[in-house]
Amino acid sequence: MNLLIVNNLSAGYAGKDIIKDISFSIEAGKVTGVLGPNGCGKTTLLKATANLLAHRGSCFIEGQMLETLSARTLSGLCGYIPQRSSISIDLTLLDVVLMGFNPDLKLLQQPSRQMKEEALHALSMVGLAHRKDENFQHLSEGQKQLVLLARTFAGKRRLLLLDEPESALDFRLRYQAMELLRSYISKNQASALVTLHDSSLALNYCDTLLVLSNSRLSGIIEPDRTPISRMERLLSEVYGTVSISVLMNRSKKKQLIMMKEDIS
Amino acid sequence: MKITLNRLLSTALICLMLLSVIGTGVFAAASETTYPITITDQAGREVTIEKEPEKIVSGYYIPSSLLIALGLQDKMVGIEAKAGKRPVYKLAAPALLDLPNVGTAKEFDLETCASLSPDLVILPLKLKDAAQSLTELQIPVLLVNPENQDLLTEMITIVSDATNTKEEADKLLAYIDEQKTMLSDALSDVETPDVYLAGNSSLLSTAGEAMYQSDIIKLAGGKNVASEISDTYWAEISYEQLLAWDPSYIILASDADYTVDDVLNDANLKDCSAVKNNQVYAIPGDVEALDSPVPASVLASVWLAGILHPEQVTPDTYTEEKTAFYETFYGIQN
Amino acid sequence: MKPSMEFRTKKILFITAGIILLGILTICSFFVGKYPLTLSGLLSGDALQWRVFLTLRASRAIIGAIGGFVLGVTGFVYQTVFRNPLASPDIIGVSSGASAGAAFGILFLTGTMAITASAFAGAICCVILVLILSSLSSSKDGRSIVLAGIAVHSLSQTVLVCLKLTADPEKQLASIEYWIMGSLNGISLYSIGGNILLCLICLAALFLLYRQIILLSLDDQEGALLGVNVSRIRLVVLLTATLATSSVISMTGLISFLSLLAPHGARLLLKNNRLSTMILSGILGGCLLTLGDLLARSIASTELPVSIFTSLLGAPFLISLCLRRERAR
Repeated sequence: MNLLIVNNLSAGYAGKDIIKDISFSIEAGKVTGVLGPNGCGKTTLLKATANLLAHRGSCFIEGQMLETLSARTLSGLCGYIPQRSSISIDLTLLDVVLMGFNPDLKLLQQPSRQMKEEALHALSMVGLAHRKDENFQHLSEGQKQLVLLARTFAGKRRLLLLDEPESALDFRLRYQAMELLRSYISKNQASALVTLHDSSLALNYCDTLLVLSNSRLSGIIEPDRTPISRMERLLSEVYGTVSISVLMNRSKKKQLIMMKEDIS
Repeated sequence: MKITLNRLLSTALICLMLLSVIGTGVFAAASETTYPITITDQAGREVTIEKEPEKIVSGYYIPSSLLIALGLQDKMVGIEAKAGKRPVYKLAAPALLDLPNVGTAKEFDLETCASLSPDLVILPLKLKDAAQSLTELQIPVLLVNPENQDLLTEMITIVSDATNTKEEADKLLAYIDEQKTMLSDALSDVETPDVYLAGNSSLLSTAGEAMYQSDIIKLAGGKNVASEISDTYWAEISYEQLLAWDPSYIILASDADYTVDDVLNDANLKDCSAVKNNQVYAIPGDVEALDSPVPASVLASVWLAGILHPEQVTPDTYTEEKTAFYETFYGIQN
Repeated sequence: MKPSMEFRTKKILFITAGIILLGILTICSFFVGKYPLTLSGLLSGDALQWRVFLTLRASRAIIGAIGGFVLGVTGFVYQTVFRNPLASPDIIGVSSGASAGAAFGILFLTGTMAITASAFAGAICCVILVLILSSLSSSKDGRSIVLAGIAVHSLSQTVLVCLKLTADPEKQLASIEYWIMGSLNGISLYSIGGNILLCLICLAALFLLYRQIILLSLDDQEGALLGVNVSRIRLVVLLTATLATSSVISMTGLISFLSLLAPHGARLLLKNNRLSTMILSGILGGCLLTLGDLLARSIASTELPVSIFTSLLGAPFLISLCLRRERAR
């Protein structure tokens, strides 16, 4: 069942289109990654889908046309995780996660006890529940990102939009974050659209990959199913000549590795 | 040597002639200024004036008023700014209102003043720097500081010496002395009621012991309730303080923005004796602001005495003296 | 890894201590003043003493506490909404607008009520101007408000200078300067009723909107993504805070440093930005203003401007808090 359907999305800044005519869909319970060179419009795509940018074309979330939804309803359906949070004042981790309930609360309403419990649960999912009263500003960038994840998880949003989550995270946390994402998505039958740099994360944690190049969608890859040769061809358009190998890690799990090849 | 009668007589005659010459000289010194003259002004500066000034500029309303009283209004070529605000010019010397203005005590217009080529400029003490500049331009400047009755008398002497108007000054000083004596004689035995003087800016600003306005009250046979305040400028107090002092009389400075009615209707002062007994008055300002050290300022005490001690000094005394004073010294006919 | 218990105890401790301190200071304020009020006089029912107590002494003490509380809370709000720890009512033109309005009132109107009304009008006009100017800008972020605030601040300062030049240096100029220095003098029961009511209403609104205020500290995009109608909420919050601030400073003149200091103090003590921090900001503000006013009216034989004391007391307090924090690192 398609949770998100995007039709002919074009968007840009100051009249110039960065992305043109992009169409794709995401099923419930699936994570879709977006790959592409810098400046190709990955973030633009994300922002346009979240209705943060003026765009042409349309997006549908669970059958509802995104552009017609009020900001409040939209934020109730969509959880957007920026690369960095703009939180500049001292707040406890619990307070930050509780922010995520704002779309569900009336203007003057305070979070209920149940919401607080859900917030704590979300924090424990990212392993930070024991630090719930600590100052958000004292965390490392990676830990802050985890708290933002928890904030989005707490609200049980249907569509998660993540903007290069790995940029702030170290090696271990990257994989941990993607695991958390996948587990949230499958448990709640939600969908996620994630822009990524790291090919290893993209190939091994996403059900679908959108490859952007020259402002357009040059192709869609499904790492589980798409033939290697096709994957290599599509990704070479973006990264230059690459080869993809299938390896086993010690836990006997299949891993796809992308390697750069010299132009011969 | 044989002392003949002739010799005695001629010696006596010569002595008499000498005496008369000296005598006239002495009198002349008392009534005529000889130029050049060096005067010490009220800033302690030694100022030399070469000849009798024919073009005088005054940058301050108090010496301007004095110049009229000394009969020098025709020699004035420049006057302080906002002269139109003061009724005395319109009444006594309307021509002065057409004179170019040389700025205020805060912002003095050096160029305009210099362009008038004055022989004498009179400025308030706070314009020391402007005085310095004018002196460098070879223009004699007298700095005055009439902050109380004594300094006012001194200023009158200094200005009259500089302008050869000793006779007029003597008449003025004699009048002031006469009024002071009249008051101290009439009020020698009276009880001094409590008086509160409210300043121009607000009811809650008042003059302490060190200020000139306090002397007005003393001379009129009253006691300034604010005498414990030692500030040399208007001081802010609170309603509580005013109620604690509980003056029997409240007098408002003559340029006050608020009126006697405002005070009488002020709910916070319901319990004040002066308000309860309707003893709130405004110092007259129909000709000049009598609460500042202008030459006529002694009249403020005469007026106040007429209120505080009407049996010893009748209220009519003020009206009569004021009319006489302004007619004599300012030519204002009533 | 601090357990939540410790924070809760700290919060209760500081707020209780603050309330007690404020209570003590306010009570002291009831008993300090130039009029010889005595406990025995009051207890015996002396009508005159009661009148002075209620109309002058008590109302001044109440304004000290409530006014200071308002300034502390609104300082917290401005600093949070503008994401600027140095923000104060001036960032949105309130103080300079009130000064210009007061100067206008002193020059062209008569009576304390008129000056208060004029100051209030000046402040509100400036804030409305800021909000209109910032809404004209195409950019949707909060920066435009700050820029508009700077522009309007400069404009009102210019107006103020022109008014000062027109003022009679013998009487009006001193009044203007004295007003700008701030004083609780002249406040009596008859002049404060409406202002206090407005303050209380605005305070209630701000406390109810606390959660939204914290959300406004995010950048506009993140706020929007969390479902906040950023421009509208910000408008409401700023107007409410400004109404409260204006109603206080139109009575008291500018009280320097308080709106800046009290929230910092509260944050340094409690180390976060919860509702309790906002409350503590208010309490610290109330204490500072009450203490400052106590000194302003008793140290000399005349009334001194209260800003001298809020700065003199506030600065060392803030410095000591900062030093404690540095040492704790």
